[in-house]
Amino acid sequence: MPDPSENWGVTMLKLNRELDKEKVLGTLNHNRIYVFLVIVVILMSIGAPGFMRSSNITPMLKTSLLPILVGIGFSYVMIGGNFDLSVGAMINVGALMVMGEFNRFYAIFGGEPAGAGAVVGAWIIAFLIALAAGSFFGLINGLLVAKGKVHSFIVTIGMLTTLSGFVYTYSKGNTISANSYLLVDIIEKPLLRVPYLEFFTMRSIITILVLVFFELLLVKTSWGRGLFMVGSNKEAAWQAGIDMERKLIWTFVISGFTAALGGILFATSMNAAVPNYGERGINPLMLVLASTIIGGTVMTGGSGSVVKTAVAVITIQAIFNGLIGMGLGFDTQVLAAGVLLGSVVLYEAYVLYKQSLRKGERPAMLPEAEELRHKHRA
Amino acid sequence: MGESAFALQMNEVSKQFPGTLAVNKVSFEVRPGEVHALMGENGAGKSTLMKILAGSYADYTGEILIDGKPVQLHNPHQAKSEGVGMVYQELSIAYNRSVEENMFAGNIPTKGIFVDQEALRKQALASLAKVKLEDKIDPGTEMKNISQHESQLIEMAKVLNDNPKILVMDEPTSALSSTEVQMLFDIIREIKKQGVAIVYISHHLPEIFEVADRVTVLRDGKKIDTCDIKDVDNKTLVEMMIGEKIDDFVRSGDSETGDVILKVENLTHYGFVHNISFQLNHGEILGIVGLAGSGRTELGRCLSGADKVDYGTVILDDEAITVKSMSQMLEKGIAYLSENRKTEGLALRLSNKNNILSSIISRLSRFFFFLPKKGTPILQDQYEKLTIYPHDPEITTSNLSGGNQQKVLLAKWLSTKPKVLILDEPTRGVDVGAKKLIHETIVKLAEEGLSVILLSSDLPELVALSDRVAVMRQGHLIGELKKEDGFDENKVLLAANGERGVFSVEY
Repeated sequence: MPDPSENWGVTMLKLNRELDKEKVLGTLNHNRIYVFLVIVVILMSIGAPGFMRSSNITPMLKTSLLPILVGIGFSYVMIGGNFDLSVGAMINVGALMVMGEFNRFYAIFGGEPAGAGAVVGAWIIAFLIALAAGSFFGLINGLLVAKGKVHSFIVTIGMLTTLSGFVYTYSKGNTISANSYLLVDIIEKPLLRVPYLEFFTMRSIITILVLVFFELLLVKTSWGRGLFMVGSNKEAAWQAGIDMERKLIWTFVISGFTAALGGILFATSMNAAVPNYGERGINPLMLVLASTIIGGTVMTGGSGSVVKTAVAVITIQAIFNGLIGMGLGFDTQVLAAGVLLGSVVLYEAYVLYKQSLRKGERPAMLPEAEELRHKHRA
Repeated sequence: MGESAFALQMNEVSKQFPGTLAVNKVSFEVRPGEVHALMGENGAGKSTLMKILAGSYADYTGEILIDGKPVQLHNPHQAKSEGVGMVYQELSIAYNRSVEENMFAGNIPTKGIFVDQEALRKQALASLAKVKLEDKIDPGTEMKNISQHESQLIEMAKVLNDNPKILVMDEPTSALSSTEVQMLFDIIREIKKQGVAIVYISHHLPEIFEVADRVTVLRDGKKIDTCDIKDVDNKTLVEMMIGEKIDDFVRSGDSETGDVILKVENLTHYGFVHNISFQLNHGEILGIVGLAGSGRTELGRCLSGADKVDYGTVILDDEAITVKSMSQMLEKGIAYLSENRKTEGLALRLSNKNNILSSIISRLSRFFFFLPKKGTPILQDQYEKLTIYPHDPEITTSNLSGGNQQKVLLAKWLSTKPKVLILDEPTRGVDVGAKKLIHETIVKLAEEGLSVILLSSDLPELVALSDRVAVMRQGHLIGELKKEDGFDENKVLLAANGERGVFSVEY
């Protein structure tokens, strides 16, 4: 048996170099979404005339607001190692209930003759009820997954179906519009009439604040770090005394909350809500799922960021928008999103496969393995 | 300290499992600042004893004293708070998270509502310093980029954070190189100086002599003796571990073996097994022995096509084969009975029939249709040969006893009619009766001309069945012992520990 220590130094150097390469690639992969965004913006600016105009950018970013909000909760759930497929239905719950409850309480408070006070009061109550509804349905999802130990796919598909029925019953299949235009004028009005800054409205600022709040909660607090541990290795988290079940339940509550909030803001910005939003065109669930994965959240949990999910939403919207600018249709949009998602998922699977091949490798034998490789190649 | 001379005392501790008394009234004590080695063969009760100490069982009997004070260790949390720190063989790591987060999970320092990143970094570095890694590892690195050796040290640092009085290490060196082992020993000596009592479980004799102060040997769940390491040598320790055994199985008659059927040359899977060469004859049982992590299972997996073969030749029945896949090797006539029947071997929720025929689905098919009826004679044949009980192929496999499950697994691979059968721990976790029957079956099959490669850590089994024993160490085949030169468990165990001069042939 050859003594492995002879060429130890040389081989360790080589291994180190390889590690450095891996490190750089790893960092790049972690931040891949920013690279994607830059590439997409450059390509689209060249290929699609008028892409960079304020009149194009502003609506594009506004379309991203809803999926960004939904993506927050969706990413939380996925970091915990689960899926929430009910977010599409949660959006409709938020949208329809905020409209419906506003009308109900606006009427109770006396309607138009009662003046602005009735409008404000009714909106506040409607917002609270709609948010509570989303959080409540999220809580049920969470309890069934964490306490009932049912797979999150089954739980949330069940919730999706149930809530679809619920919103049709609630709205009787109709579009609901609010009986006051006061809020829509405030929430969608650009704060500054300056090109490129017209994007900043009450709605976009609320979205950004919520996004920042949940990013800080995730990255900067021990609660968020604990969630990462739970998603990464439940056994290790349990041994460290982290309350796993409660954390998982919270992720679903957050998902219900942010999806409902997305629906609420979307509906108030249009002053109308439909019970079948997302059933035509690009499904918000698909868009959010793709963004979360492309944004770098690991499908098995334990790693991810809501800001990166948001950037991924904008990237995909930029692709859609640019393709329209190039004169291509809806079919191509869906195709492009599918190809992008497919490549990223394939890449992730490839990395996992590569890791699994090296599992159980004896580090002590690596220097010799390197020598043998050389010899065998020659 | 000072109140008691012993950091840990165990008095007549026992633990009963269904069917066996895994630990039988074991008493031993560990002094503060002492490295106390715990030795014994597989199944001697070391791991169970240590699990009792770690609080894994609520139903042990006997008394445990820490620092002279009786304690109850009924769950891991109690054990931890009484000052027992365990470094497990299998580490629980969150690979996606950083070193520091893994070390302080559940106990992350905060400033106001936010994580105090600076304090976390400082604590992590201080903790890494205990295992001399503070200059080598950035605490922000993700665990997946950390080598196994360093992960093990990090795990140890994590345990040391709780300032344990007793530190238990279970086979800590099985994946380490010799330089890394030396580093680990330096750290152990350091911890020792701080008065921590260390319980060190290992099979590796040279290590025990290097690091331990005293050694306690267990056999069949009972304590044999505790000695000062100065008073014993390799031979006495091995004798204590093996003892005088009543052979539960002796292979009768001379085993005649025929021509070469399998020839392996320089078989290599980089980083797992290197340059493996050997020959196997018709009707021969070749035992392959090696300590934990020596590459035994990896060799079996390579030969059967389950793992990649990077280099080398495999010649079966004068036909050179490029190993590509498991199904190809099955077709050629090499079958591999895997080590873990529950996760790799059997689909426990299927019937015995479906399990046994699962290896020959394509052979029982015509066009696209699976014709299980054609398998009936094969089933009957296997049931008779192996006397699987109960005699009903439709029963769900999970309802069988461990021994009968193992027989079903054996039947599954025998139904492929292999020329070479690789058996990886064929009798792990089966009762004595079933073990004997499996042994008899293996011998009978060999007499009928089947060639067997037996990978086993059960020394009596290996010695009783094998015509030859080849020894693996650190991914290499280092030599072989021939039956005509006489081999016994002592010799085999010494050989596996790398002691020269006992081999018939040294490679």
